[in-house]
Amino acid sequence: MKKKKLFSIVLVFLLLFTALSVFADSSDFSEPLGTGTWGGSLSVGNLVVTAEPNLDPIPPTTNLSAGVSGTVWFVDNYGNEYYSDFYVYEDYVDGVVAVLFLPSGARTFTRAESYHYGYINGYDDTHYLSASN
Amino acid sequence: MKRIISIILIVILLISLSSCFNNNGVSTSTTPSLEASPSLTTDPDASLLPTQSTPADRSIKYDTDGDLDYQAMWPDKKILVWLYFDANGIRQYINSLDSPNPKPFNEFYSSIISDELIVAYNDYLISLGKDYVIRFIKQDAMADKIAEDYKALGDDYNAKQYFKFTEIYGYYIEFMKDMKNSGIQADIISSIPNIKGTFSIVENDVTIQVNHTAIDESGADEINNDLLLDITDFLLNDEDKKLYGLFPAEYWSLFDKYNGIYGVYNNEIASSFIFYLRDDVINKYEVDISELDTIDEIDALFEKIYDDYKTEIASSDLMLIRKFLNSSAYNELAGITTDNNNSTISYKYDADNNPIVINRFKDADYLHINKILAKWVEKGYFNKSVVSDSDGSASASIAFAPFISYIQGSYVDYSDDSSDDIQYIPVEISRYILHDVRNRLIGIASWTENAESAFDFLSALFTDPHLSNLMYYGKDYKYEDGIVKQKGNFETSVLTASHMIYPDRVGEKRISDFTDAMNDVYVPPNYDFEPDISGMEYNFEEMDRLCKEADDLWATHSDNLLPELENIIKQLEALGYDRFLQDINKQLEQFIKSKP
Repeated sequence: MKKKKLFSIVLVFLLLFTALSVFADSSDFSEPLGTGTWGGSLSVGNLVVTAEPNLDPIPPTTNLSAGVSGTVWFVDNYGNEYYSDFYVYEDYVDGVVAVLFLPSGARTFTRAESYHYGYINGYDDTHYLSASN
Repeated sequence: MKRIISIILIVILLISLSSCFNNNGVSTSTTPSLEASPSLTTDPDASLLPTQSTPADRSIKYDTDGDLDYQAMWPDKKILVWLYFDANGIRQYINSLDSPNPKPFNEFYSSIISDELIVAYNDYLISLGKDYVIRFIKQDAMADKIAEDYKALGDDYNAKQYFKFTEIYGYYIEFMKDMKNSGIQADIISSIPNIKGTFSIVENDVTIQVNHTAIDESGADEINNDLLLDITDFLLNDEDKKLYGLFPAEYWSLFDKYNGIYGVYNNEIASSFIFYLRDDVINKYEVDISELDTIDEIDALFEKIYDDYKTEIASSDLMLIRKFLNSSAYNELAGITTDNNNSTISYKYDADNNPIVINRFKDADYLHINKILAKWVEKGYFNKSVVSDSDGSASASIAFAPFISYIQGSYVDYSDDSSDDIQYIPVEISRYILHDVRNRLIGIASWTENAESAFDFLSALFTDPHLSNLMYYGKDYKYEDGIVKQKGNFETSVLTASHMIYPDRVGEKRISDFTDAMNDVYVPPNYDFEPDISGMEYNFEEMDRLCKEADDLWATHSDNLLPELENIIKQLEALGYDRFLQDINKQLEQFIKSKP
């Protein structure tokens, strides 16, 4: 029963990410990093911004870190612009994802910028992305 | 299990791909051609559309420096120079300076206005019989100076953060002042929009969030530095009052404090509160949406359909209504407006239609609407979307839950474009409310030598929809059946009149609605009234905190709303709140008397 519930939650997320990202503007990258490759993406929709780095190390893997920080921009119904920072970082994972929801009182996300960080077995790199809605 | 997941993932991918193809299909089929668009002439809003066309094969001529050759393109036409600041483009550029291989601005930067767009824009002006064209100021000079100062900060992370989020905007004013002092031509000026937010710095290895308001009142610096021209005489010229007459008289009173009118605030002008309801629910329950224009009627609908959805609501799979508004914004639906800059002060019209300051927490309409909202929270209609500002995983699943309805402060359609199954139908639940926010000012440069032409252009910009839609959607946009089926470029919005932009979705605002609404627009009781609390000896910080806490009670203490509210009312009374409101009421009476 628990597996079923978990599965349905994952499915809802996947479907919604798919639906919400179809019309969102996005940018991404993929490049070598140490003993493997890494990539990242930034997507800006009306209601949701997602930013993520993903590591694809070649085994054996001992040390991994992934992080993403950045700024999201949104507007209200009077055309006032607002911005807010975000930051996610974890060790020993092959990826993290930052999901930002439109705050109360706002009308829509307009743009975002993100700095992606990846670390694989002694090698690290950063990458800057920007996208607008 | 793995097999099922694989199949589902394949299906999802196929749906995504099919959506992409559909999207492309839309783009192709709606490829606009202003030259030959027979459908345009049959549109009910056809009178708003350009009657002249731009040749599709217009070749662009460049001068020896590689710049657009205005003389060759538009011989003998006056050139008006339009100043604007592409803060986003420049910020991206200075961000890129921190990368291992930074590029020069001209290699990095793509202007938000292409040469093709400039040609289409100016050809359209010529087609209208204008004797001028527009040259949009290049950003290079500002970007180079900003980049030089940014690089001088070295590796000082905190200084760079302050620079990017606070200091960068000051360069625009300095740039304009230099132009004026040097006698360099400028005619039209777009001010930077109001901007505020939080950015992070690091002190002693601890990340600290800094709250900062970069632009508090768009255009104020330009006016105070004598960079904008007083256009009152142009506006009130009997020969052409088109621009003046477009808005209610109260709108122009936003400039009273400056003793002159220095342009046009482009603050979306007016909006209505909209209740959006999913169309499958409308069909299922045969809802007459024309009867859904008050919070009580919406409440009655929710009562009717709640039983059918309560299982999904209980398992957090559905919201009956998603919360997009601030907690206090719902009070507008009860005719109570709270001051944008001071949460302690709210207004209503009395029985004689005179504006008065009220203690909203004792007002019957306030209590009524807050009790309804508290009930909605109690029954789970919002499904805890009231905590959507949190970034925890629990709120993530809630924020992603589908929602049947929502209320927004203007037409904002969150329908899922990738599916015809989820479409929201808008219902206006308030009259159009005139905005008194001073934002996105567009005016005329005080040192222009082309004031008459510049005013003519300003008037055209705010009354001719094609200019703004061309700029926002690009030269190939096509307006059909009341909408433009493509995404616009938000970055160009500083060069547009927001109320002129066509909707890109069925449920969005339509220009014809806006024009009608202007004839009967609702002017809030506190329109343009700015209470003066300087010199008053009240504990404003505590009063502000208590008022905000009271407005949030329906969301935070839905099960105990009235006792909690009573408690706050007593605390406010102890702080002299009622006496304070009487003082503000006296100011309001004086303000009304001072009005012509």
